[in-house]
Amino acid sequence: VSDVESARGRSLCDGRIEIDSPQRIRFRAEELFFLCGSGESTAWGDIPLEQARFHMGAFLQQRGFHFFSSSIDFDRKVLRVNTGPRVVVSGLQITNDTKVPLRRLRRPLGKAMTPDRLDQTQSWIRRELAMNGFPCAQVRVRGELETGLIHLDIQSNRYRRILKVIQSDPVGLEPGILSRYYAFQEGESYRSIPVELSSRRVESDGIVQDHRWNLRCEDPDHIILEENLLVGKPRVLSLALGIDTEEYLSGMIGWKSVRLGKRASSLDFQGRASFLRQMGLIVSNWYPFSDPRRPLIRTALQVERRAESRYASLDSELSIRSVWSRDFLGYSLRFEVGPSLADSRALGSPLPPPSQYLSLDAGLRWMSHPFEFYLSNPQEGYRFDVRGKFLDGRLLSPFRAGVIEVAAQSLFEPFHSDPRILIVGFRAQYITSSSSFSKAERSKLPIRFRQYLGGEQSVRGFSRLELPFDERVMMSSVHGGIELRSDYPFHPRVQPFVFFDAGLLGEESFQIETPVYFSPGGGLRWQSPIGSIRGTLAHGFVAGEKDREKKEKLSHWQWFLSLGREF
Amino acid sequence: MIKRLLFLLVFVPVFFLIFLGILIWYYPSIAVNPTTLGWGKQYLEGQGISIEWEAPRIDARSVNFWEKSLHLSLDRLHIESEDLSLRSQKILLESRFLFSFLKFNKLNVDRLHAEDLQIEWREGPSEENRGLSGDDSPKKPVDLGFVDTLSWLKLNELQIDLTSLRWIDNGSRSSITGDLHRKDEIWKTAGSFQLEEQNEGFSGQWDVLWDGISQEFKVEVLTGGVLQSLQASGSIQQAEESLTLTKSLSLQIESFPSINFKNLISEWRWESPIIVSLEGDWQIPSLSDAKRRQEIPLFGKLSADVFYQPEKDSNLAAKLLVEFFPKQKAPPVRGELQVDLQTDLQDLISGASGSLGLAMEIPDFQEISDYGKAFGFFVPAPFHHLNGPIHLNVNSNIPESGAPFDLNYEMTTDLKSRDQSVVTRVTGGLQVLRGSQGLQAHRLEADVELKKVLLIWPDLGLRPPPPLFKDARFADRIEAPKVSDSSEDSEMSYRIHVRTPQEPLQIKTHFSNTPLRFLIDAEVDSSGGMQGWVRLEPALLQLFRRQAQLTGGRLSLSDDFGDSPIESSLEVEYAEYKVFIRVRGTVSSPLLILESNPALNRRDILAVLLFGRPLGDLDPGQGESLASTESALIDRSITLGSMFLLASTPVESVSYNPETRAFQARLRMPGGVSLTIGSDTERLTQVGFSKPLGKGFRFRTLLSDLMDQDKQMHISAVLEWLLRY
Repeated sequence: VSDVESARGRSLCDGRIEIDSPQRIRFRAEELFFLCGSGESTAWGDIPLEQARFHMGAFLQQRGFHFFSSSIDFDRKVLRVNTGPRVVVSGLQITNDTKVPLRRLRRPLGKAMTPDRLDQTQSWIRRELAMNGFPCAQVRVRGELETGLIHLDIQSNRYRRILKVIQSDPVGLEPGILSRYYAFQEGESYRSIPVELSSRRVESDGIVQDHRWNLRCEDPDHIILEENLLVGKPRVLSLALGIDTEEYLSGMIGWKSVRLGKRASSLDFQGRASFLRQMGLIVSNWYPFSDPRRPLIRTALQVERRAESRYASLDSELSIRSVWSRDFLGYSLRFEVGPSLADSRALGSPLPPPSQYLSLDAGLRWMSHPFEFYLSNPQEGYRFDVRGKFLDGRLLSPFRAGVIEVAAQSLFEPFHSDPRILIVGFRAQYITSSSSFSKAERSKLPIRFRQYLGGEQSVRGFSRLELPFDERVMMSSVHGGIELRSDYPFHPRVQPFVFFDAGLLGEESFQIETPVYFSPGGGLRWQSPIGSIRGTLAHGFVAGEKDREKKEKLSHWQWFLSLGREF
Repeated sequence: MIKRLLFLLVFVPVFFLIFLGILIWYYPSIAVNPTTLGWGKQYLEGQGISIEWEAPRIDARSVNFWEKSLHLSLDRLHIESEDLSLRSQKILLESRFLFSFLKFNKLNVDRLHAEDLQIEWREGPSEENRGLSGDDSPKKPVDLGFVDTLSWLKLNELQIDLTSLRWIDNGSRSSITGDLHRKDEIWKTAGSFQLEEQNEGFSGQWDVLWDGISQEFKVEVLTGGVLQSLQASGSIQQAEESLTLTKSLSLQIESFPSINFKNLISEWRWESPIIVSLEGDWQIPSLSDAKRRQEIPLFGKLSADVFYQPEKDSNLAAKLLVEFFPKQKAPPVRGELQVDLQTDLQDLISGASGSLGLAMEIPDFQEISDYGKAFGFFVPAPFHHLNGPIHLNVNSNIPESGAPFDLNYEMTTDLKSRDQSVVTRVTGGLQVLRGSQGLQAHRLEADVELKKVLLIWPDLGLRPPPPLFKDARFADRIEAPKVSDSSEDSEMSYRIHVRTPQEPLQIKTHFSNTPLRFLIDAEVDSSGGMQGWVRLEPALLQLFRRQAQLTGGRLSLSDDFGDSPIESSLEVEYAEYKVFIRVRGTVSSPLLILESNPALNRRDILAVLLFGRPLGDLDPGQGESLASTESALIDRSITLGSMFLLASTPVESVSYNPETRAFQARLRMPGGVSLTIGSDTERLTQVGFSKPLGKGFRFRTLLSDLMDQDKQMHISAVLEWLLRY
């Protein structure tokens, strides 16, 4: 709501109200109505000064001025108001019968103590309690003006388990189809993150347009989750845009049909394009079983063209996978396995020859619920991925090869406060390939079996895929990084961070060799209204490299700017 | 011989006694001297009274035949008995005894000085005598006969410096310090006193001047930390058995307007019963406080008869008639208060019985509201320009034996202004309990009849009203929560019944040409319970940018107002179809049912209502708004207020975040200005995969697929526009 009149010249209502305040106060139009009156009717055309004084108390309270004083000059018909000092929040006094170690809430400190602030603090604490198994807790919040303390009296209303889920099934689907997205089980202790995460998954997959929960607290020891849906139309057309300094501008177009058949299978067409990559993808997710614990069959056809600085390639792949996913208390496991038929062609020189091969792919992802939940604003949780691709020269492949990748990522906040004082993030990835090609024949190895380093997602002091410096074919790589990000130090949405990345490459399978590539650096993350924008600046260093010229060429500053990329 | 002997035996002593008497008559110092003073002391010591003094000087003289003088001076006098202790640094008495025909006629005390007088009076039976009988014997009534018996005394000069007078009774302790002077028929006394009884008591000061013609006195009492004062001046005429006081009296009690009595004639008659008759004018000179310069006097007449009958249980009775009426520059309040009460002095409140009645009229509400400003009372908008009379009648019969009594009242208002009216009648009763704590309002019953009420709703346009009252969650200091005794029920209970017996309550709004008409039959009570209903009569409204027919509405009240069922139906007519909007559910969680003829689906109806166009003509952003509105409706996150705002203005976009259940609508306003309403609050944590940005856009976070060919697994995000169809 835009402010339409402020305390201009420290007077309001044509001089009927005079305000003395250390700060300029802007009143909204609806507030001015009740201070000055409006309209031609005798009812609201004027407001008695005593009534204006009464309302003024409420309006000033909304701005943190609790100790206002006033006087009415009945001769001149003027209300004089002195707002007094603004009361700011100095701390929180929590009476908590839940024994839950709540995080320290730092955000309201130093801010004006207003009714809205109390509401926000109350919402925050309810959310904290819901995250810890007390979704029906009642919180009484009061503000102490002498000390600036916010008093929070918590009545836990007992620790709750999920008694049952009252499902709401979209028309035409088998009952309970949506339970495949649930990150919780009936009978489990209630935690808000898995429950909200379930809604996110449903919506992200697009099976329904809108999904959320009603929490019912009528049972003293349990909670009942009632599903609420807005089903929406079954077809989704989407256009998307992403920006970063690696791929510059990237666009995406998609068409998805959900709720195919009684078990809500889906068919998804996607096209993505940037200066570096162009890709077309058709994915079909077929659910042959009603039981959500049974696998789905995913068939995908992907054609991708890449024009990296190091190489250009055109890869096509048709894959069929059986996908199992299961949620446990606090984490989810997902396992995929299946064959894929690939065609890999290099474009330009130096060229590995075109090759077609059949491979067996497998992957396992172990991801904590908080990691998935905070995906758009990473702050806690972990994930662990293992995947492999195996080719046998005797089965529709001209050569034998394999690649194994292990990746891990973890974030945590050591000070247990909100906003987080410090978010510590680790990530590491190890990839190794093997093939039947000898070292001299390795130029024939398709590019996807070769290892590179450099870029925003690996060692940030080097440009994208800059490493190795020469044209050697690397079979192994490992890289890791640590990032320290401070939340809310000087602006609620701008977070500075520092990081240190390091990586190594190896020419042989399961072997890592010097030199060590490392890069210290720093950056800023801005939580913009359209997503997080990250800028990093790092310097690449090489340790253990004897070639001085090579070393000097690799040691340089490198910057990245991206929308939505996270550590 | 025997006769002579008898004569000698009789005559000589008689002669001697006569001679001695004549001698003493002429020389009183023979009988009144330090030696006889010592004999008296010894005699009193034999009676259990110990007396000590130093430097006694006594001089008794014969001024003339009928007049004798006595000058007595004692230093450091100390008298001690079982119930009295008296000390004085110096006692000086100069007195004259006047006789007529050998009969004592008058005692003139020319001077009586007592310096540093300390008296301690221990009243009541001693511990031994108190025995087991307790103190059940009825207390003797106050004997006022001393007024007559003191007529032989004439005091010319009196000067007592009372350092301390302590009066110790069982359970109470009183002390007085002060001066008492009298000279030339003028009494002056000033001092302070204190009464402590258990943990209670009061203290005060007095200042009295009494010159025989006019009397002035001022008493200030501090009780419970509150200062109260009484000032009076007047004259006293004493007759055989009556005392007439003509005086002015000013009574000032803290936090209460001061009251002045003028021309007050009070006649005290020592009959049985003792009657005090009062008649005079009273005036409350100013209802204003010192900060306000406005003074509002209130005038009236007082007529009262107070009967005191010591020997009866109801030993105090009063008939009181208080009239009040407007004078120039006075508030236009007129009426009278009649009180007819009998009570027991020992138990004023519980022992009272009788009747009282009050009839009051405020002929000009506008004027009384102006006067009310002087002491902080004001009439708020939209009622402040109403004018007309208010009548209030109160009557009560107070039963005996301390039973509760009801104050039955009837109040009528006939207030009108150019565009509003409030014609009401309120009847009911206030039940009052009597107990050791005094009077306590126990239960209020009120039947409010809204006979003809027409009010104007504030025209805020599309803006929701701001919070008009202070948030009660703030306090200077917050104490630790106390364990409250739930059984304690000292609060007043109430039941208020509101109804519209004749005409509906009418409220003029800016979205209807005619006032909305409400029929009400509702009741609330102090337990928080609500019952009854509010019915909205059919009306034509300007909603959804066209005329909508409100076919009716009903709110059935239940104990929790939020759970009150609500029913309302609205018909909006379009060229090709008619849309029916029904509101069902409860106040806190309304459910909107959309139907049409011919039948359209829900989204089509919403599209027409919100955007004025069928679904197929909407642009993608409006489609997303539609989905958000539908989501919010299903989720019941739209309050009735938001629903009304949506209905009353062109909608630009609607977004709904199911995660926070926050609903936001952007409304188009005149001049190209947009207004955002909704329930969104500052989000403490940004979570989730996607964040709706409105108009079909969302910010979506992607985690690289597990089997993505890109070897660098990463999280990325895109700005996405999407359309479901």
